[in-house]
Formats: sequence, C-alpha cells, structure tokens
Amino acid sequence: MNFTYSIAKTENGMDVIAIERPSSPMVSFQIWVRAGSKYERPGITGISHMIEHMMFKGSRNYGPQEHAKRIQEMGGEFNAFTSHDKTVYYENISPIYLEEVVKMEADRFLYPLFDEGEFLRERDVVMEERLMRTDNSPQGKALEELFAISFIAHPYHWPVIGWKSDIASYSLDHMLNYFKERYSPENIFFVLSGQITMDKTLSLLNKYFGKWEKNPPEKLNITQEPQQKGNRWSEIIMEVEVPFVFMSFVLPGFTHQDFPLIPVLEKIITSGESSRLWKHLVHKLNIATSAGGGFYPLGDYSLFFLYSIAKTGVEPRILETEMVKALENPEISETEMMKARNQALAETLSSLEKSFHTGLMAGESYLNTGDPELFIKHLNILQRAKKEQIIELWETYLAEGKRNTVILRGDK
Amino acid sequence: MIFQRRFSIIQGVPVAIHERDGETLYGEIVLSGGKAFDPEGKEGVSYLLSSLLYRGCSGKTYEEIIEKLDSMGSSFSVSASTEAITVSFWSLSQYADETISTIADCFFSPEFSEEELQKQIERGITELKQNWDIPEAAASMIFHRKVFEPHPYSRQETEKSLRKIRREDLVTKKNETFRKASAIAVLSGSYKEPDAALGRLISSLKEGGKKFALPAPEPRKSLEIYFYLKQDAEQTQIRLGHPSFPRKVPFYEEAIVFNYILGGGGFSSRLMERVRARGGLTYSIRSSFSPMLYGGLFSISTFTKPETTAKMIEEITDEVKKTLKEGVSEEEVEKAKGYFLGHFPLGLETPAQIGSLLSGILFYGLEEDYPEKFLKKMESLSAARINEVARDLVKPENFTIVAVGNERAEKEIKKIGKIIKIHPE
Repeated sequence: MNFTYSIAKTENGMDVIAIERPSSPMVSFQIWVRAGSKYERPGITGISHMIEHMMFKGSRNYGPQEHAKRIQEMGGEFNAFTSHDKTVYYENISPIYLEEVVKMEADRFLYPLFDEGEFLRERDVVMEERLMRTDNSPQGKALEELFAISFIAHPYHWPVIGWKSDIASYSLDHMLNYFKERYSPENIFFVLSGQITMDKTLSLLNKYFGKWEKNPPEKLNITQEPQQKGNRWSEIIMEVEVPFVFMSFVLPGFTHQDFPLIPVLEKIITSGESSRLWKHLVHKLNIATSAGGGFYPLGDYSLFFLYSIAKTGVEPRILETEMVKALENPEISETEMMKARNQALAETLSSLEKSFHTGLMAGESYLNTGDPELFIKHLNILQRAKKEQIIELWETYLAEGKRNTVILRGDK
Repeated sequence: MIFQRRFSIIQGVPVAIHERDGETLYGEIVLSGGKAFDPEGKEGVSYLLSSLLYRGCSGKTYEEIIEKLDSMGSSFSVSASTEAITVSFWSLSQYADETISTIADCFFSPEFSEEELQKQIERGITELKQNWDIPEAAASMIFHRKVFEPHPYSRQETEKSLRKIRREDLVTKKNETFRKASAIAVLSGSYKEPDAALGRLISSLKEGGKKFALPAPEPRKSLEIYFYLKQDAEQTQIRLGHPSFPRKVPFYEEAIVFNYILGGGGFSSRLMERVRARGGLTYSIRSSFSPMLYGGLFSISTFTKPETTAKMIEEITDEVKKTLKEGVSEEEVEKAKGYFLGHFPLGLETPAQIGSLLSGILFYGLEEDYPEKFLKKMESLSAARINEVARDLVKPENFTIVAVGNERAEKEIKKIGKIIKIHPE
C-alpha cells in the first residue's frame, strides 16, 4: 500500500505531517483545527462553522474573498469544512504555488479581519445554508433529529451548523471569544500530501506561521453520554408523500479497540444491494424501495445508522418493525466477511489514489490518536477479523434497548 | 502528451485505453440512445432498462450477481442520461478478470423478469414522489422538462408513463441500444491485457445498429415562469435558463470562460459576488453550460428566502444583462484562464478521472489530442474574442424560470410576471 509519511514540529510547536507523493501533479495543503461543534455550548451552537465562513472574509493583507479568488486563479481547489470534532481548511494546488498559499493562510489565521458588517451579512448566508441543508430537506431534518435523540448529553446532540435560533442571534463578540479559545498553535496541525518534501514544507511553515504565539487552551470538560437504558423514538411530520425511517446505534469512538471492526458491521448490514437490510426489506418483503446506511466515525463516539424508504402504501411503523428484524440474526457467512474485507480494502485504495483524500485519512487518524498511519493499522486489524469478534460486536452494540428511531411522514 | 493514452477500434467499437501501474482499474461502456429516445408515452424505458441490467440474466440470479461483485469490493454504476446508457465499473486489479466477466456475461443479456420489472416500476414511482417532496429536486426536475418542451430532451418518466411500460418495451430498447454501432468503451488503470478485456466486454453487444440522431432544441422566444407551491418550504428554490449549444462547437472554450466569469467560478464569479458576498441573499449560486450531442442547456441555480424571491430573480437578470452589455474584462479573462490551465492537470490524478475524460472525447467525437488542444486554445483566448461569442450565448429575455416555494414566494414571483402553476403528476 502506497503510504509513507514523516512528521515534524514547527518552531512554535505545531505538528506537521508530510506525505510525499512525487508522481502526484499537485499538493494538498490542509490545516486541521480542533474546533468543531463538540467544543461549543448551547446558545452558540454552530459558531465553529460560522468562523469557517468568516475566515473567507478577509485578513490584514487580503480583502474579503481575495484569498479564495487567488486560489482559483492558480487553478486550485479550496474550501473548508466543519464537523463535530474539527474544522479543516484546504487548498489543492500545483506545487509551484505552495509558498503563496502558505503565506495567505498564515495571514488569515494570524490576522483575520472579522468586520461586523461582513459578520452580519454572513450570518444570513449561513441561515440560508441551514435552510437548504436541513429545514427544507426531509432527509436533512431527519438526520438532525437522529443525532439529537442518539446523544442526549454529549455535544454531538446539536447540529454542526447550529440550531436556527442560535444562528439568528449570535454576535461578533461570541465569535471572537470562541476564536480566541480554539484558534491557537496548540490546537492546530498541518497535513501536506502530494508533490512536496518535508524540508521545504517546514521552512515555509516556520517562515509564515512562526510568529504565531502560543496560547495554552483551557482544558474543557466535555459531557459524556450516559448509558442508554431503552429505545428512543421520534416522529417528524412534513409535507411529504413518501415516508421513511432512520435508525441509529451509538458505538465507540476512534480510540476504542472495537472501532476498527465497526466497518465490518456496516458493510454486512447496510452496504449495497447485497446487504442484510436491502435483501430483507427491498428484495424479500418488497416493502421498501431503498434501504441502506453507514456510520459516522467520530472522536468520542460513532453513530451507526440505517434507513429505509417506504414503498407506496406501506406504513412506516411496518418498516421500522422489519428493520429491527433484519438486525436479529448476528450469524455471519464467510461470503459476508469476504465482502466486508474487500470493500474496506477497496475504499482505502480508492482514497489513496488522491493526494487530497490521503491527506484527509492521515489527518483524521492524527486528530484522534496522534498516529497518522492509524487508518492503515485499522485496515490491517479489519483484514484479520474473525467472525466471532463481529458477532460479539453485533450482540453488544446493536442490542435491544440501544436503538434510536426517527420516522418522517406526511400528515395524511 | 500530458498523459499517456491510446485509441483504437475493437470489433468496430471506438475505444480508449490509459495504462498505469497501480492496484485499481476503471472501465466504462457508453451506449447511445438514452431517455430522449424513449418512445413517447413510455418515458422511463431507459431508466428501467438500466435498473434491470444487473437484476438477473441467464444462469445467474440477481442475488448471485450482486454478491459476486460486492464480495470482491468491486463497484459499478448503470445509469440512463438524456442521450446514453452508461455502464461503469471500478475494481481492485486483482479482481478485474472476475469483475469484467460478470459484467460481460450478465449486464448485456438481462432476463427482465416480470417480478423485478414491477418492483423497479414501483421504485421509480417512489423516487418521482420523493422528488416532489424535496424542493431542490422538484425545481431541477420541472426546469429540465419545461426548458426543453416539446423537444425529446424534455422526456422524463412519470407515474403514468412508467405504468404503461411492458417487458417487450425493454427488449425492444435493448435490441436498439446494445449494439456495437452505438457504443464506445474505455479502460483506465492497472490491468495486464486491456485490449482483451475491452474485447470481452464488447463481444457481448450485438453487431450493427442504427445511428441515433436528434434535431437541436428550438430556442425559446419569450420569458416563461413556472411555480410549484410547496406549503412548508422555508426557502425558494430557483432555476433560470434556456436551451443552448452542443458539445462539439468551435467556441466551447470561449463559452466556459465566459460562464466562469458570470456564475461558474464560485467566489470569483460576478453572480456570487453580487447575491452572496454583497447581497447575503443566498449560500450558493452557480451558472453552467451543459452541452450534449445535439444541443445543450444554459442554467442558473440558486435559492433564497421566500421574501427575497423576486429580488433574487431581478438581481440575477440584471447582472446577466450587465455582463452581456459591458462585456468581460481582460483581467477577468486572464484570471479565468489561470483557473482552467491550472485546474486541468489536477483532475488527472486517478484512473477514473482519466477514464471519464477519455469517454467524453469518444462520445462527443472530439479529437484524440483534445486535452492538449484545449490547453493551447485556452492560452490564446482574449476578452474581445469572448465578448464577441458571448453576445449570442445567453438571452435573459427568453429565460424559462422555475421556482418552488411557499405562498409568500408565490406572491413574490408574481411581481416578475405571469406564472403558470405546476402540480405533481
């Protein structure tokens, strides 16, 4: 498997992971910030994502959107994304532009503008994004509800984009305070993947980010999720013709010993038309037109989820009952094990074809464990998994009383 | 040559091959004759045909086929677009032989069981209903139909048309489209005998076949506004546009540079600057040319609050008119050229990316050295040349506008002009 990396520290202590891929036509420059929705609190939910938006609104030497426009002139790709555990800023560019990009990134991390007028206008933009992704989308709405009932105490409870009333009311001061808390050298590391060398990378990062002073963050006490003592259930009524059911189970997070084996459960139960769920609901019973799922591999806990879409005339309660039945038999065949192993291998090899995705996998591993190579170690553990281990996982985590269900239906 | 490739003809079918070291393989077979060629009144035949390709063939059940491919970690996609039916696959090189055999043995000789056909019809009807449930999907579906009517490009399945389709319609469609005369094929990645693999896939197709052709869609002659009322929509989805040019035109590069500056270039585009950065009216706006074989589409997609529906349409129309009247500047053109010249090589990292590019070259009949010619042409473009071409490319006075929103949005859009209300079919 084609993955080699080196790791070093900038002069002010920020970690740098360099994945050297000499045949790649590009370099993916990624800045990982430990600023995601789990570090927020009620009242300012979504503020991590709001900062991500404001980081495109200008810095000391660059006007609003100038950074983005300049990357585009280079033919590069850029963006940022916020999730539960992190915010990641990235540029995929030709290696000849690396120095200019590092310089621009340092300018916005060290000297962002955060103008109040821009902030208020961008708050409206974020509200439109929320309406598009969640409030105006039946699937988006159901997924938000699924997280909310799966986590009742841990901050994964609230949506990454934030509750509507929080977005509408937070101020520039809220954002500035949160920025000070989370955006400091201690909470940031870099991943570079593609046509680069560690020597060059390190000298550029020292040159432009070296002046950034450390600001030790206060230790946050993140609420742990209490043990679930029974199934949870919720219903959403919207103007829809086609009802559907979402279901979830809370599983361990990235650092847990069982984590590497979760994809086996995911592949067997929810992946594609050979999955247990599809075969039972769509093929055998013909009560759903589609069924599947996946899992959110998060830092503190993971969320394993399933969905099914009702065939015309089928009540969602029937779907729910049959989804539960599809999970009843944890006996696993050799063909299923082979499928899980090969699909996991194929996914990793497919991601390794792209410098950008390789960087993301290494970054995610490093964020959660401090080991950029962990995704490969996890894959090796998965390849050696025994049926008995998966059955034990199934019986432990998908047991009765640990299920969360959201039904979305019309009002007729 | 910016990346290694070779073209040839295998059993009469144009093919392209990109070989490289690695552990994966990507392949594609494109068959002319998609949704636009479905019989009138039986729209959806292409959709059902593509859904049933892997659901059983002589000697193998649907479950056996799926389990075989899934167990190797191979992935595949079968899709019906306006002009073609495409089978693509991705496989670990170690399983490429078996993946290719499974596709060659089964995908082109489906049995079309009555039970599976009825299931797929129900599935298609549910997907249509879901499209009406989701404002974003409903807007795109209505727009595609209304912008092209009555041209065959507007053909889309409905509940009524799907229910009329019988097994023999699929057999007829398959006999028409699964022919060597209407196929192209591509293989990209690491595999020991790519020519033999393509030969294996192509030999599953019947000899001969007809040449598919369509007239170009007629240009629109006036503004038309369609509105679909969705009571609980908290946001209005908006589409604007009209029919446009086909892929193989000498001014394609000029058009995409113009579009980049107008609304295709993200934060660098004039529309994004006006309605998001300065206006705060939306999270996203994008314009695009989508050229096909015989014609194409120019479209602008966005969304906004119900209260700003009319304002958004006015702002967009005004910016389009202004850009057409004043033209684009040399500085904007240079920046756009920088984007295309720099971005092109970045999209050639994986076998699938290169395979898709090669497939486009064959399907649209472009020259074999098109990638190099594209870059050369891009370097030569000037603002004067782009403005000369752009004047005829976009006609805001003839836009078809589609909006999906609530009653406040309906009140708003009536400020733009007379509306025609749309109801689910």
